[in-house]
Amino acid sequence: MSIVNEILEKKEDFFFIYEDEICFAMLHESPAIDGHTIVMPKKKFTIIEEMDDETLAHIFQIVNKISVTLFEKMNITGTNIILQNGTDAGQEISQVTINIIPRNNGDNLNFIWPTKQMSEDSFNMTRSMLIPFLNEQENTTVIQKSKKTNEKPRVQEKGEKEEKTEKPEIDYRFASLYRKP
Amino acid sequence: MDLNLSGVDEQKQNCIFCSIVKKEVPATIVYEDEHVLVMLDINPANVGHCLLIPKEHYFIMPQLPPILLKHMFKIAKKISHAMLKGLSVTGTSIFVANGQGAGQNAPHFMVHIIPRKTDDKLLDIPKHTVDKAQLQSLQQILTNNQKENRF
Repeated sequence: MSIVNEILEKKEDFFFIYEDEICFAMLHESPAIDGHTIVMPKKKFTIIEEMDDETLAHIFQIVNKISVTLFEKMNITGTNIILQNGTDAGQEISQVTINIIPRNNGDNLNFIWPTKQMSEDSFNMTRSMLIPFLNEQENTTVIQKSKKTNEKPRVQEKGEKEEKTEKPEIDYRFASLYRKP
Repeated sequence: MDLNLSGVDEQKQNCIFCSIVKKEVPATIVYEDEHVLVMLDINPANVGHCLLIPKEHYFIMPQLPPILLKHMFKIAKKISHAMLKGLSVTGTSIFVANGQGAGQNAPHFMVHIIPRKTDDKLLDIPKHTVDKAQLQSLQQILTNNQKENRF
């Protein structure tokens, strides 16, 4: 069973603060700080590249609303929104998860990174490596499109089955992003 | 929530990102459309670190019109996708700092999209043990009068 189905089946064991047809939000069980909330889509998406634009847009709108609620109810001076996309980015479960972390001055959290120095040449080179993929045809489901030759269309019904059936359809470039069981 | 929109004009005038949008200040721009602009961060966490900003000046996320907010995260996905393919990285982080308490330095709302590599140790989210009673009381506080809360 997918992680989301497990959560939805035992909702009372978790601390939901929001739910609709597309996504839900609950308090993190091992929070970085009080009020640390996670938002997940109900459908199975391991990384955001698999997600259709509508779902993605909806989820971030909900993230924004939750962030506002945290501001209003928790006497905070900021929120961090963090999405770790891929295991190498620190993603821990194989479902897109967006963290909303309430912040205050002096809260001992620190999401500041050490910075790198780069020459103008390397900036330009990086730019030229990104540009070809930014002008690709209007997306929405890039991964699925690239696998058109695969006869098995990705039908996502309500009672969608396990990720096993999806795995052969995953773009090889993203294979390393999937969590090994 | 008090968004405190006073002083926005003044903020705009002194905003480096507004100057970049107006092309008065140079930047390595990788994507641009009618509403947003994406540039390489001059002090990157990793090579390819991008900043996605709205062209219009907004301080924090709650100020963004919903349609712009949606558009921005669609573009964030696009950028993340380009990083996975173009930079041969194995992950990306999408990061927003909303408000000074969250470490926001510039007065212009932005989304960071950061290419990630194994063990680069960026953006580690600490974990703490809390008891269920604590979570329960927070749940109550946050879900109270939810309707008034624009949910």
